[in-house]
Amino acid sequence: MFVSSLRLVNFRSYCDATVSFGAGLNVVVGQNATGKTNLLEGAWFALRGSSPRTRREEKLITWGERFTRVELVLGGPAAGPQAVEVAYAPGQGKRARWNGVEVTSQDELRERTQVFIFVPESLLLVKGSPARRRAHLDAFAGALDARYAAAARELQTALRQRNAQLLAVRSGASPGTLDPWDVQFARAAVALGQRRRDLVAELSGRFAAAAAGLAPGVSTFVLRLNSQLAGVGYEEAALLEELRLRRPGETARGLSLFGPHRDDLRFLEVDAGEDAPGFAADEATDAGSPAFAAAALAGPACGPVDLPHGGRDLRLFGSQGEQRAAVLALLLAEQQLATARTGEQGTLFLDDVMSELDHARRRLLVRQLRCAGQAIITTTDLHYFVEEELDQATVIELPLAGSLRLGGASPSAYAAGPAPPREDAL
Amino acid sequence: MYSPAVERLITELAKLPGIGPRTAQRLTFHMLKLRPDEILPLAAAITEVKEKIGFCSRCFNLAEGELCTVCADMRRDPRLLCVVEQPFDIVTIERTREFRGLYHVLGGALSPLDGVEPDDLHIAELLSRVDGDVEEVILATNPTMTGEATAMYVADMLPRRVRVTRLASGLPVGGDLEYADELTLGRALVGRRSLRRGEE
Repeated sequence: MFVSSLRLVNFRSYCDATVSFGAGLNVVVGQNATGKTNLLEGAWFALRGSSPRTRREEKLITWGERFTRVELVLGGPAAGPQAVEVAYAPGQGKRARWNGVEVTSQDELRERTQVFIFVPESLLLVKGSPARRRAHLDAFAGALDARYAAAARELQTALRQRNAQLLAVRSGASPGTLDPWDVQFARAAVALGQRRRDLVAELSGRFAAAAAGLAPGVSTFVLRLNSQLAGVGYEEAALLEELRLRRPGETARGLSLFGPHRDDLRFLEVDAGEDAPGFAADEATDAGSPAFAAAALAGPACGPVDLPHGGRDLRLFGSQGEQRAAVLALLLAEQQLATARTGEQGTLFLDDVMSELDHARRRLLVRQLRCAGQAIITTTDLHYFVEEELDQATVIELPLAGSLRLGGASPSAYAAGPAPPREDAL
Repeated sequence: MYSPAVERLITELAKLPGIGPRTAQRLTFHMLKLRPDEILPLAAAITEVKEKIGFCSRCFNLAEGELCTVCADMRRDPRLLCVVEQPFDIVTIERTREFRGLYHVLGGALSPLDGVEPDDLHIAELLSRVDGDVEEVILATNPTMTGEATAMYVADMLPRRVRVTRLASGLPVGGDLEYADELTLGRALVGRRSLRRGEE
């Protein structure tokens, strides 16, 4: 399936604009502030029901308007054309329809398509908090596999219940009341932890291969899951024993301190030849955290602390270009894995990724994208592409008719835009 | 906005499960429209049920009097005890006509998030009931996380000499595999049983 057309109504800088895409490589070209990022954000909003850039959804609505609506048509050989529509108005909430039938949850929307996006905010995947990386992994895997999504939800419930009981014990409840919650938590933790470990193992080889073509310099990028659960072999019984040992500390804090809720995904750079890419998942324990290191030395249930052998953490030491390459490689790896699992190639949305790559790496990226189903990529300059690439691509020039430039628009130009139908808008 | 009496009715109705402020408002206006002889029987029924119905002193099922109908029935098997979360669960299990033992209602499930601790449930009463007669305790709490945790907690508290069992979870009878959700099917696979006699 691929995105064949997109209509944006009152979305960011778009008053009412429609754009068609090709099934392969699409190049959206336009100068600064012509709405390139907004276009990708709009497509994502239709397919995911949320913005990849902001949580404040009222910001998505064109200034001065009361609602926004995005319509998207998917074409593809398998099923006939599918139409999806997401509308949002502050106070009335969000409404999503798939072929006219109401979609009740974002999870449901997520399961229907495989899409991947790179926007400037995506760099936070490397630079930001571990929670963001866990959420990204879980959202990707949850869309592929309902059991993964269920395991992630179970862990959240078990964790909250156990933390509440830890607090209760701290304020005087009998420690025995923790036992059933230890068991529930251990079961949920191992179920999710094993799935995450397997997921990263499946991603890491693809990640290294994709990164090899994008990373600056001669270094190799490695994706690695750091999980405390590795120290207990991802085993329920061993985790329960670990929880028993840690009980005094956890009770004192009123918090669960050990489990997959503290997993992190590490983007490492190793010198070529130092670490063969592909087997990188989960061999290190959480050596980065001094608290864990101390606990690991104290508790016999944990294996030896395994310091990352010479890997540079891109979160701390990566350049902007390296961090960008790491995120791109992760998205490409996810896209390949999703294709392998579902048989659907999905769509990659890439916002302005060409400008920081050199000529050779641009060619490599385009070549990777060509085997990757549909890609919609924005740029300020068509010269980032060679003639032969553009011949086979769909080129879309911005501004589109119906897009309205923020700030630069005069009141008369604003009024002249096609008026959206108000009654049946939502 | 409304007179205090109307406001009070809306507030009281909105406390009921499944009823939000809007529904409470609609019900209130509906009641205001009715003649007294149409609506006062509702008030009388509520009063009557609260006066006559209490909890069984033995198993905490709903009872009109000291003991509930199950506990008062001498034909029931006192060696079997089925532990449930709510009185309503008894009705469901009774409908199967498969169970001839007695019940014990816990009055909920452990949920630290909602502040439900072991002392808030009728667990101590259960332990004092499990005396010489009882041979098996069936833990029939819901197959949710809170239900599972409660079953586990109770199982640990029960004396070793009684048999403790848990309801099986799996596929609905008469259903097609293709309609089963992944979670149910997954659990049914884990809990599969041998078809040959004598094997577990």
